[in-house]
Amino acid sequence: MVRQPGLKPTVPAHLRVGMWLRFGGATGRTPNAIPRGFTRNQQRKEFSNGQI
Amino acid sequence: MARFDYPATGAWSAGQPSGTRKFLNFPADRPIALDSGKTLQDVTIAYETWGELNAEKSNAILLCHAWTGDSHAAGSAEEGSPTPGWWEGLVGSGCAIDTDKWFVVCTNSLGGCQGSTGPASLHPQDGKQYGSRFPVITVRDMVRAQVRVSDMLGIDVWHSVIGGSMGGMQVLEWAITFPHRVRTLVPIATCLQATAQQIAWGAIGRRAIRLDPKWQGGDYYDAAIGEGPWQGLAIARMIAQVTFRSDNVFTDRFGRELADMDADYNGLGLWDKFEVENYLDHHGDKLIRRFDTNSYLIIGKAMDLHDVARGRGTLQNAVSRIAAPVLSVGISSDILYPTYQQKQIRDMINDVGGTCEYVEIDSPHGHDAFLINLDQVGKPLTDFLTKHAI
Repeated sequence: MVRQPGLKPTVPAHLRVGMWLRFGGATGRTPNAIPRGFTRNQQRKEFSNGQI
Repeated sequence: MARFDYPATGAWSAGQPSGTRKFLNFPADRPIALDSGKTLQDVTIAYETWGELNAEKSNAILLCHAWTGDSHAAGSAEEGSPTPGWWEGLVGSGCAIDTDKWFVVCTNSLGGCQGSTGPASLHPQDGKQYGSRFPVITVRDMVRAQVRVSDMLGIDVWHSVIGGSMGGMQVLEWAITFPHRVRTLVPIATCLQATAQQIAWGAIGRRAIRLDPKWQGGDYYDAAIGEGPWQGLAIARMIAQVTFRSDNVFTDRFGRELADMDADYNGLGLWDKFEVENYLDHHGDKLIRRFDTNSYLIIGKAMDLHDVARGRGTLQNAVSRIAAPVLSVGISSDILYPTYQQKQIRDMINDVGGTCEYVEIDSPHGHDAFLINLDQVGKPLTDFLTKHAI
């Protein structure tokens, strides 16, 4: 998307993405239905080296 | 269509990308004699190297991996090696094991499944996987295979042999079986002989695999996708994974959190999951895709059979053969190989006139800490190697 000259977004890009996710992202689900953040879940699962 | 897309085995096989692996094939007329009285012919050992061997061949270090590790001790994940090196960050240029200085070798252990001869390898007589025909091996047998590798690489004496968990068992067998071929030794989070509790954990995992009908007594290599013994291997791995960590770190990471936050998910269903279950499922799933069930059994049994006193009378007799300085490393929160075992290594070696230092990694991460707290592993390791450098 090309931003129009002189128009500044009121919310920084990373927060807009966060808000979009918070309100369901592409799933359209309500906030309560949002699964835990994928990154955090992956970190939780991967916190073991896994090569013993 | 299979419900799960798990392969019958996660073993590496010829024809797949070999990554940074190299291979040594033992002469067909020189089989390996095993502790069981059986022999293995046409043995191949996969290995990787880092750094350069100097002209005097005095700067070689052998790394020994743990149960499901392999020769990929350092380096990134790549085609042929789906996971980063198990000591990535500890081994490399400028690292604690500095490959600008040391020539580092890591072999995939005998019985393994990432290029070395193991149950998923093809039997030289009929070209079909060994499967149930693969003999029980011991840690001492693994070391005998490593000695062959040393000979083929032209390394008479290793400056150091280093390893954790099962790798540490190999270190101790090197120290006792081939004392004239090692200059220093670093066994980490390991023991002189497997204890009843360690064997008990192993036995539960073995039972889980044996009860999986798709294990088929060990001859499952022709199974279709999803029809291999993945259930048994996953359960065995889930059990082991609990023993690799500590109560504190599980509480810290997962607590009592549920695995799903859907509004209608209250966790009261019999099969609704806690977050920690997701973690165990994940590690079971990962192992199925990169390991072989029979290798898991064979290597696990080798660990249970580990006893440096076997055939040597007593532990004192065995330990008295150690001639090289030893750095024994323990982990404060290790519930699988508690620190009394690494202190026992120190005390017994010193009691019989040897030289052994003890260092403890202060970590909540349990047995896994030697693969996680690399700063705490690296510092004493560097100091020890430097202190005993030629």
